[in-house]
Amino acid sequence: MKVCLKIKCLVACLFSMPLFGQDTDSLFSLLESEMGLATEYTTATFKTTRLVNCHTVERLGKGDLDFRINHRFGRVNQGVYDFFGLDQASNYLNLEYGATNKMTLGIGRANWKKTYSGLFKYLLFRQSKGDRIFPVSIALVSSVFVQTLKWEHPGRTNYFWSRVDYSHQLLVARKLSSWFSLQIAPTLVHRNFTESPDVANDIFSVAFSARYKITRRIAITSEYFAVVTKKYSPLQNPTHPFSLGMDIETGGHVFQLHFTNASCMTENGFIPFTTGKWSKGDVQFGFNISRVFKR
Amino acid sequence: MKKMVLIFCLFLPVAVWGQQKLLSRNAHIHFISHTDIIDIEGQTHQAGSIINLVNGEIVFAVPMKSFKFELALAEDHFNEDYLESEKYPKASFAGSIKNISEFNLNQEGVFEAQVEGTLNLHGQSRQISAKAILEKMNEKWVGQCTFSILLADYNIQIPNLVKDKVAPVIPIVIKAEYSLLNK
Repeated sequence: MKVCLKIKCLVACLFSMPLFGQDTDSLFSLLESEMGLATEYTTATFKTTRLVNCHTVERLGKGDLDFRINHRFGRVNQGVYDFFGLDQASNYLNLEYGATNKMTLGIGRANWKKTYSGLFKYLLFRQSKGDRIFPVSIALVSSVFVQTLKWEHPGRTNYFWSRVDYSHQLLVARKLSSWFSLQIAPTLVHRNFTESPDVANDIFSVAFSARYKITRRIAITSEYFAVVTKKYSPLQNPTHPFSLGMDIETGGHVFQLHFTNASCMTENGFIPFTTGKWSKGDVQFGFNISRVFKR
Repeated sequence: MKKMVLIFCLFLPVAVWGQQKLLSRNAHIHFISHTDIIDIEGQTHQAGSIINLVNGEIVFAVPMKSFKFELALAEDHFNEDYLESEKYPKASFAGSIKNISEFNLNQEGVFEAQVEGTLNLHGQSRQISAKAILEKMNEKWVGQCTFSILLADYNIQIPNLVKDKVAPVIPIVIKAEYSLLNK
């Protein structure tokens, strides 16, 4: 009888074996339920902090130093005499520093009107999924520009503040897939000095930017500034800046090659002073090079 | 009476062995790509792991996007170009401590464990085996393990242009603190 009971116990134990005989799959599901959901932040919405001329929501990490060389040649439709615009050149150099993981500070110098620039950029929200869900990344960027060209306006007083312009942008971007990112950026450019009273001091525009990755390291980019303000330029027939480009990333460098109808690279320049028409081939070839150093 | 014994027997194993799992929620994983030109280090504190003390089974799950780098750009490259974290969001390890029967992890002390299993990284699975140190102290277990992987084994391609900057063999250090899982 006792033997019988022992056997019964043994059988009962054997049958209950599957209850504790875990395989690794169920260990994984146990681990998953124990770990819960983590917040996963989106990375690399764009390759670098600019697309062509427009800022992107991309940030520098704390202590990262980004040296940017932005270069535009002359118009390609000038033909072979000017070597398709390569005889002429304008440049804009930037040095930008990640003060924190969210804040970037920068200085720059553009040869257009011998302009010095200062930059402040702050990342407000990051696109995320998982525990904390947020659909877009949002950053604020403000720049100040000081033109140091010899005074061009006889009859007007040469105040220091007449040489100062500002640009503010709210960058809202979403990485829709690992290949495709979109950004919409309401932009306000304020020019302290305008050439005549009927030219607006405040220029509102909306920048649309898109990035499509064709390989892991190469992306096609485009950006368009739709200017909302009427009579925003002293020029006769201003056009809206439109650019088409390509990002090529090679480790520490990002090369951005593009065609654009804007020859200026600062917001106070390319928004009011773009006149090139894509339909007439008034476009110029240009490139940006970004090199990030660690302090 | 007999029936009660039987029922008791049925639940006994569950009650006893159900306690015998160790959990680590914030295991630390660190790797370094060392070359003459640049050292690239990444680390995470968000790896999870469970050890089944009964049969020595051990699993790890690591969210790839939790790896942090000195250089923000390195993090982008890691996720975008090399590990394709959106396509393969997790790395995992499923294996066992082969010599689990040789020591009693309920006693305080230092044990040398022989771990073998399958590492799944970047969508590729490879067998690995490594020695690990397990130490029990004050109801905590600390596991430490160092092993190396060959990037080519996991179909992680390094373009010619950066060949001098990314090491082909990457040493990985894991440190996990476990406590008893009360389930």
